[in-house]
Amino acid sequence: MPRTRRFEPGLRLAGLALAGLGLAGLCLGAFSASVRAGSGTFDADHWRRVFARPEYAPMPTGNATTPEKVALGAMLFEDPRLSGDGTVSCATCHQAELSFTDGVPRHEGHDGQPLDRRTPSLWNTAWGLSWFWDGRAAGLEAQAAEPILNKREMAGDVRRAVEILAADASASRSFARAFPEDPTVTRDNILKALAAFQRTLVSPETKFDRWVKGNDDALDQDEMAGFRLFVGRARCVSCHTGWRFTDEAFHDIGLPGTDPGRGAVLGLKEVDNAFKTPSLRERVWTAPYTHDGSLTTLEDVVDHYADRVIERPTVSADLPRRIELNATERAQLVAFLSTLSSEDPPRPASLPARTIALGGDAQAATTFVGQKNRRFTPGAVLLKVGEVLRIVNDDTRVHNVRIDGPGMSVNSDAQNPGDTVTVGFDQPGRYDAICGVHPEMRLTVQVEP
Amino acid sequence: MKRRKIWTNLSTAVLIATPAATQAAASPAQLAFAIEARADECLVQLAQHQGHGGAAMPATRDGEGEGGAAELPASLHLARGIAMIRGHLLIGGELIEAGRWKEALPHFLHPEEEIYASLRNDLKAYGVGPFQTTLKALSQTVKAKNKEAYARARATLEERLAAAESAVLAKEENKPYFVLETALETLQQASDEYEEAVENGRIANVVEYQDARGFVYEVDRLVGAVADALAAKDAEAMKALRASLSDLKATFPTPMPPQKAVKDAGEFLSAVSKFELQLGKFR
Ligand code: HEC
Ligand code: HEC
Repeated sequence: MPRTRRFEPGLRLAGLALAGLGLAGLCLGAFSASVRAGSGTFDADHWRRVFARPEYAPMPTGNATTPEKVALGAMLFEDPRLSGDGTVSCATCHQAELSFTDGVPRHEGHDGQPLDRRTPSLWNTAWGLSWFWDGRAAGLEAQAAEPILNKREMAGDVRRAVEILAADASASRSFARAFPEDPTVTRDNILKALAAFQRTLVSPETKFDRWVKGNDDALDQDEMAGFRLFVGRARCVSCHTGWRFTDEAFHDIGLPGTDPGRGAVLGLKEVDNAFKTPSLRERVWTAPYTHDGSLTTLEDVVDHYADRVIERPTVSADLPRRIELNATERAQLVAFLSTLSSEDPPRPASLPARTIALGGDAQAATTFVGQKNRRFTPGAVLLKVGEVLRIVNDDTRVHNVRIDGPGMSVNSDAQNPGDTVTVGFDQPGRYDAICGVHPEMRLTVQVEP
Repeated sequence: MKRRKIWTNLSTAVLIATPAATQAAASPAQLAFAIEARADECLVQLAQHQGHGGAAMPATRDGEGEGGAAELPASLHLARGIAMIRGHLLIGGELIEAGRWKEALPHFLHPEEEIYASLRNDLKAYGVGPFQTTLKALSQTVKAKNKEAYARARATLEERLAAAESAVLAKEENKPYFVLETALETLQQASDEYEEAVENGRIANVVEYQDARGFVYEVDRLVGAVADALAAKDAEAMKALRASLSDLKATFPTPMPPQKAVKDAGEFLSAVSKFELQLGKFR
């Protein structure tokens, strides 16, 4: 859960302080890497400061992150009416279940051809200094207009989208709640709501954060060895620094390909092939990697740095030309990278929990069953015909509810933690429900006339 | 009919009789009972196989793949684990092809939740890199119902499984025989699943039916891959193996179960034992 500050001068300060910290991190990172090359010491306290998570999410003046705006933004993010033909939403490419990516090297565009670049994950974009792989957008608000208008992405027409949303009473009400000072559906308000929602996509604390907070045992031996390589001999930290593991700068890391990247934005040949250093948070869930999706696994990425960097004048000065890494060391680096990801695919707290209704009126449910610790609790319930059962996932893992006859066959979708399944029963009898994911979870439902 | 139920009831009974008894202390008695219970069901032959019939199920069922795990040599344990994971992928993939994402999901979550943990040490022993996150990365694509992402994540996992499989096979002298042993172990798991699935002539638990189907079809694929070597050794026995596999496959006409169960649990087990009978001829 991100904590956002509500009064703006404070926030501005927080933003400035953050930017400052980022720079400090960069210099310190480079400095210590060069010091260590000779000495081989490891200053844990120093690295704990470099990688400490911030307390607050930044937010710009003029677009406070309010719950109403976030809720509206979450809705718009999934609303295909923002696209030209009403079929594509932001979530089409930035799928929440896939850490806001799409799992392919390059998403197919409207013209059936792959887009030029890989869909990036949207975790922690609130802390960005520029957006897109080449940094061409200067703010999240400005950024959001691009995919909507882009002929190959959503091919939308913002004016038409505004008309459609304004004609929808429920959408208009949501806009009014989100923007009390300007309660209308406008282009600006659409973009502000989308940006506000995206600022809440903060990746959860992971194993590595427990180490940062002082728990020396949080990382196992291999992970720790990988971390030492990361900040030491492999010099990854010269670009992947700070709690998000990015310097927000643009580098050519010697991948094949002809996309000029930052070079085209600045009109400078010297920075051709340079792309924004991606964050390394939650990367276990966002394969394939890099701006063109050409590296399929984290192992593949490490092999690239060790063996396959293309020599050309634009290659970043911060990139070591040859790193000797044996198989064990490569595995250790990957083990370390994995500690920057949640142990299960993370889900943002700002996305509402789902209710999956399997017959009956979900609102009318009177009997509740939990699923904590892989157990339906209570394990047996007694209902009257017509009553509706509500099964809430109060566990930490994904569950499911299914009944395979006789007399009734239902199968809920995946039930994430927090999601609810409601089941209506119109015939008396005994029904055995199980969780399809954990078939040993049993629930007996006795329905009386 | 339900071995697990007998087992669970027994252990509760033992615990009630001697409240202080820990599971471990109670287990010799349980073991004897369990073997007897199985003997009643004409399972003697299987129970003799490597002695893991009797101890097949701990008192609480902590997921598939744990049955008899302790007694299997690491090679076989790992190979069986890989086969079971592939069995899950196989049935899961069939369901996805049929557009049944919801039905497919459990089969992608099971390998990570129920099998992987028991393989961790084996993988280390064989110098195979961990692939737990690869499993989870695959199941997230199924949850997302994203076919392109699924295809990619699945290909990545298949590579990992193939690497693990070659690491195990590299150390085996008689590879075709080892594959048969793996096949038999996997079939035993299939019969456990199938037994859980059938109740009074119908498939009461669809997921377990599907597990069993996936395992049997994976075994069919495993055996198919070494068929030439096996036939060269004993063509007759190979024919018999094929016949028992066809018989086992016929238990599962479709990924979604038929109205009426094709076999009861006893018939399924006896088909497995026909497969087992041929094994000695390939040693
Ligand atoms: C057709 C697929 C597609 C759709 C639809 C789409 N995006 Fe993107 N998104 C991308 C790709 C590809 C990029 C990278 C483009 C580049 O860098 O040139 C991107 C980049 C971004 C970024 C920059 C992230 C960063 O860290 O730099 C943000 C933010 C973003 N998209 C938000 C959105 C929002 C909001 C919507 C809906 C209004 C949306 N996207 C719709 C594919 C898509
Ligand atoms: C010179 C700066 C620099 C150094 C040093 C560096 N990286 Fe990177 N890293 C980048 C940039 C820039 C990209 C994106 C490149 C692109 O897409 O063209 C990237 C991409 C990645 C990615 C893919 C992330 C994604 O979401 O696509 C991973 C993982 C990664 N780096 C890990 C490492 C590791 C491990 C090391 C040390 C062996 C390292 N990096 C060293 C700048 C650097």
